[in-house]
Amino acid sequence: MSVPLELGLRFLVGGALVSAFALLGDLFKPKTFAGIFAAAPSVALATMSLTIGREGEANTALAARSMVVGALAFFLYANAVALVQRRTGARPRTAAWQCGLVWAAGAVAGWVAWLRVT
Amino acid sequence: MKVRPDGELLRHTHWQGHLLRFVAGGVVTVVTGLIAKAFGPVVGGLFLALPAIFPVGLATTERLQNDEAGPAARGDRARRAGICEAVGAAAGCVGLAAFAIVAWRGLGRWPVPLVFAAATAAWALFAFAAWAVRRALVNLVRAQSRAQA
Repeated sequence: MSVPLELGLRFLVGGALVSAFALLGDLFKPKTFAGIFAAAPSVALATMSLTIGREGEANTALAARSMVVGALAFFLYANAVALVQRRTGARPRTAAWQCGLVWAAGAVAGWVAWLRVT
Repeated sequence: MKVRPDGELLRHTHWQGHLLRFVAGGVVTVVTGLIAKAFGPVVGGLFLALPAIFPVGLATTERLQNDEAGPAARGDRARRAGICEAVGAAAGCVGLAAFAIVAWRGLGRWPVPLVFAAATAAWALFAFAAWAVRRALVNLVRAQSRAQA
């Protein structure tokens, strides 16, 4: 498969899966439950299903192991976003961008503590 | 409040919001693939749980809530909705970690479609369980506070 075609396919599959999970999130009440879908495995499903044929199952499993760290960093990030909004009264989008470093710090810490040494 | 689907809620989202999320999802998937290609699966895997769509969703929610709120509630209502969404996303992250663990341990042992189906089921199960446990704890704390007052 040519590179532009592969990138286009990734874009379409990723966009469709993200939209599908977001639509599900829009469908449910209460809002805290709908928020679950903001952390859906849409990008992971799209990326893994498109790369597993070329990269092989062993490499995709390695990526999934790293994803555990990414998910824990995301957990810290989501709690930080809620906390910043509650404590400082920041607007949602401002809090979301301000806390980006929390995810990065969590991911780097997990990489240093676990992924780099194994 | 009980969990229930409400088709009416879909009417509240503008088409621009759907388009924005589609484009953001597509771009993030492309970028994640390119990072994995450049730096390998260990670094690339971290970005499979990158909260890139989450800020886009929050921005959409903020705009929607501000549009619907009266002038007096503008800002405050959006912030409350943003906190709810972030709290829900934290529960979703527990599911995301479960998804990753099932995929990590399952790939190479079970058929690929079964691994993806099991991982997605694990995400749903653990995300819902985390959300339900948090809600039960919040209700318990509220009941105790009321009893003490």
